[in-house]
Amino acid sequence: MRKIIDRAGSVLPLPNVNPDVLSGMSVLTSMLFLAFTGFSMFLSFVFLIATLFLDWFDGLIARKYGKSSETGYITDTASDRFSEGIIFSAFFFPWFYLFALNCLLSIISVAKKRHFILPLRQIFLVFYAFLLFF
Amino acid sequence: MNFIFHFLFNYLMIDVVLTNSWNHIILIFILSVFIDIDHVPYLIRAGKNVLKKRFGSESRTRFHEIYGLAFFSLLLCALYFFADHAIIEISAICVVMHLAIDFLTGKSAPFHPYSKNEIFLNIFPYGYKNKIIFEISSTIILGVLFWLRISPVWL
Repeated sequence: MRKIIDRAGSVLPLPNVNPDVLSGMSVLTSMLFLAFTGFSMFLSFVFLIATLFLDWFDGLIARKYGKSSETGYITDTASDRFSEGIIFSAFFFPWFYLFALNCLLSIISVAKKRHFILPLRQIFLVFYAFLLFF
Repeated sequence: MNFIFHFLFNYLMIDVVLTNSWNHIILIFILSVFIDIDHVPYLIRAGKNVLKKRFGSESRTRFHEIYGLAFFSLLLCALYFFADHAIIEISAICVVMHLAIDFLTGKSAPFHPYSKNEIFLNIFPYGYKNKIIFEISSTIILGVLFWLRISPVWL
């Protein structure tokens, strides 16, 4: 599925921006998600989608313009953990536990140079959509 | 970022998310600033040049990076069964926000000591003069919001 989306994305005229900026923006949209959870579930849902979109988009741009690097991987992984931490701090049980596990997995991934991390925010998006629409 | 910014940002964020931060103001202040204790040895070493330092990755220990995020998350997960859940959630927001803001605004080595790669996201200014202007102006804006929030008109 990811390969199909990446192939579709590679033919689109995407802006040549710094992927690190997009990674950082995903942390900012996570903060907006948290800020809006108390006011509007729909708006917070929109910011959650924006967070995941930016996370996907930075990788796509890095691959399209040959900007993939170890530093980029570190930036992306760190941004993902901060984004998860912000989102799950208001939904503590069981999400924050899984986030703590993901932090450990990230450290192991970097130390062993093998990527094995749980897609927590994607699973949470489905959960949140269920809360919102049903 | 300076410790006043961290406190004000966390206070306002918790006020928005959990409401009524005033009852936990001391806890929020302590949890917002205690992570910066690891700057102290660096400040002592810097001596008179302290104002020229920008608190990059060299000023931090591993507890200011992902290692610290993992450590404090596990600690809070363990404490969740024994302490008031609201206090644990406040603690989680304070710690995560502090580390996230420092990650966004300064140079960091997120996976130190497992990777020495130093990164800067280029979202906020890093030059000496621009960073001071940004830091002072954002702290003043948050201070005004804090004052408006705690003033009797809004309570």
